[in-house]
Amino acid sequence: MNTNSLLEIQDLRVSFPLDEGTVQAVAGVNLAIQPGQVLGIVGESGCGKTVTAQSLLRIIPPPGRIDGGTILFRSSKQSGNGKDENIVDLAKLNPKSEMMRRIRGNEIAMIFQEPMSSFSPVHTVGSQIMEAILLHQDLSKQAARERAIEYMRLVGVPGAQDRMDDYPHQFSGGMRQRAMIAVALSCNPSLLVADEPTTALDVTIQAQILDLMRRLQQQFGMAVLFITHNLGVIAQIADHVAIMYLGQVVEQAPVREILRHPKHPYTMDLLRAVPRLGKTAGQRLVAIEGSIPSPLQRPMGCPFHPRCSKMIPGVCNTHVPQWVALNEIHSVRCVLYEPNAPTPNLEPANVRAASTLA
Amino acid sequence: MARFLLQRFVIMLVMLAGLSIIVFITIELPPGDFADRQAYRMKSTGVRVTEADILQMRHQMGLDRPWYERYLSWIGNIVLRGNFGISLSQHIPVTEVIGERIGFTALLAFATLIFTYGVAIPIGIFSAMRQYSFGDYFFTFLGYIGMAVPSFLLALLLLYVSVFVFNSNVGGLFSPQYVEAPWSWDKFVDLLNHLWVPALVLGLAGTAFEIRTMRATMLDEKNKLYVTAARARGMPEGRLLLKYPVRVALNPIVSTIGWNLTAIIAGAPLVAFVLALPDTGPLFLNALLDQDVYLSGAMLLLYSTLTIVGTFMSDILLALLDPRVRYGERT
Repeated sequence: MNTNSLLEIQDLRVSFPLDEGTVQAVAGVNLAIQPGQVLGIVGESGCGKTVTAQSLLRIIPPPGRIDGGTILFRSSKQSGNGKDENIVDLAKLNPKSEMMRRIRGNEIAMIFQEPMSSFSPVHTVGSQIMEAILLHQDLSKQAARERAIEYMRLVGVPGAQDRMDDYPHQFSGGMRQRAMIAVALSCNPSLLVADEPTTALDVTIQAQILDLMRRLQQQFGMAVLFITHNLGVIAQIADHVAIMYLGQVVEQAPVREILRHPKHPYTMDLLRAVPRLGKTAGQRLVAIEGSIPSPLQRPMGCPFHPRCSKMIPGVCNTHVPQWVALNEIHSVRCVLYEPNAPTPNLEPANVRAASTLA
Repeated sequence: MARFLLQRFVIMLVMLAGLSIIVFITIELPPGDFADRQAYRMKSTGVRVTEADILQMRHQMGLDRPWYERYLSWIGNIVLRGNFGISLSQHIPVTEVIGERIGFTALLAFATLIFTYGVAIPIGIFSAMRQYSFGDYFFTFLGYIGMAVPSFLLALLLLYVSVFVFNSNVGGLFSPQYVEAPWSWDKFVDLLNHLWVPALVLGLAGTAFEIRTMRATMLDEKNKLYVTAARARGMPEGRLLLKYPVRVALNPIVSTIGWNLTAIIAGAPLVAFVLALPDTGPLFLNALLDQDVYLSGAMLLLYSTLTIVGTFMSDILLALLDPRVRYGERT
């Protein structure tokens, strides 16, 4: 593990064995997050963003399971053998183990997409914030309550003191997401996983929540794994971006680099699909051709080739592209940038297969 | 909360008033009355009874007054003086006839409820957490049998088995030496030892139903986002289960207490008859056969009151359990 990284995911594979077949939701993901860094993960629905995030906390819904890879996490609160820091492989931990539970909420906290359903409807919002504090900190109930009120104020819930004893149905969607952020921050985690935290909110509230998250990230200095399908949101909040397609990271770079010099054809298509004021006036919105293939039938070769405008018949549909570092900060997984890319294998069978898929 | 309680309480009173009218009408419905019944009985013992004698009897018993007059004096006596009238067949006050027995009926209903929920909730949770395991299938099978077998048949079966296989008797509520004995701790223990049989018989169908309900809601709730969110906070699995999905899954269970009580009270007289329990069951059947208006009316009214009060209590429990019910009138 790199001496600086807070989290390193290596060749993570997660699959869901279903009756219809096995879905390879995460197919060899590599990611690294530095302390205090905001890493955005972007991709269409079904590309494995959420499952990757769930793997960190080992809360993948059944029947999903981790088939391989490592998730190394630099734990600072679990000084096991006298050391201040301790590197834990989250992928090998038992999800029900004491160790995993001490990491959840305490060192890695998570915010979910649906603020409406991430609180229990029959418990007060305050009690659910206090729960995280009481689980991980040695505080009395009264002290935990004060801490919870403090965090509710911090995330901008008006009248925090009185709203502690309100139930989730008395909160608006935006307020609930604020409260969820309060839960996540309450134990001062070193990594915050935010799974599309603004998707279910309307645009003005979205902007407020993003503002809040950016402010708190700077204040607390924690690292954030920010998952979204919205490149506009990423541009506002992230330092680095990883683009995901069908369970793999296809391109990774700092956010400005990606926006200005996208390399992977998929990234280019994604950027073209972002509506812009003025530029597209009177024009139709651009969409990426085709749709994500059935997860049960991953395409051979590069998973994006059936939809790719730069597809090379005989190469992209047979050769699995390698991870190429273009420079220190920019890496991509596409045959166009591979120094030793194979020459087209133009056997008739391959060409025919490619043209029917395209 | 206070407003919710008051509202429910007023509704309960209105229901009780309406119910008393229905009870009275139901009792009056069958053709003929107690006077006819009495005349028939006398004739069969060889006594000559004339039309005039019947009219005379009817007048003495006040059966010739219009129905609403009789209803008003009946309900008025009950509400104002706790006087349920005189049993026509036994010539003593109804309260004396029912006396201790209604207590046993209430106790039996209560014991059955405890049995039902005490068994159904843990099994339902187990079945949901170990879905499609051997245990789950086993309880599912048992549950379907429980729902399908009529309670009186089960009572007969238990009687048969206990007498012919174990050479003891599960009938009654007390061992012979305690039947006439004054109340004591030993007598109470003896009562509990006997009570589980009718409670099992009466509660089996409801238990089976509640197991299915608990299992289904638990399956729905256990994968909801708020459960995952609590898990992601570092909550240990056992506490997580009890605090979140079980708490929400209790909601439909509690709201069916009212129905369950109805089913129990409706089924109780037959089972009590078969098992020879000293509660109101056998008395009720005889009172209906005799067209003893005051006795059967009083009992029907008490049964229905038990049901309505039970429903009222389940409403209160539900409001305690679920803030959305409690604050329902505001949002």
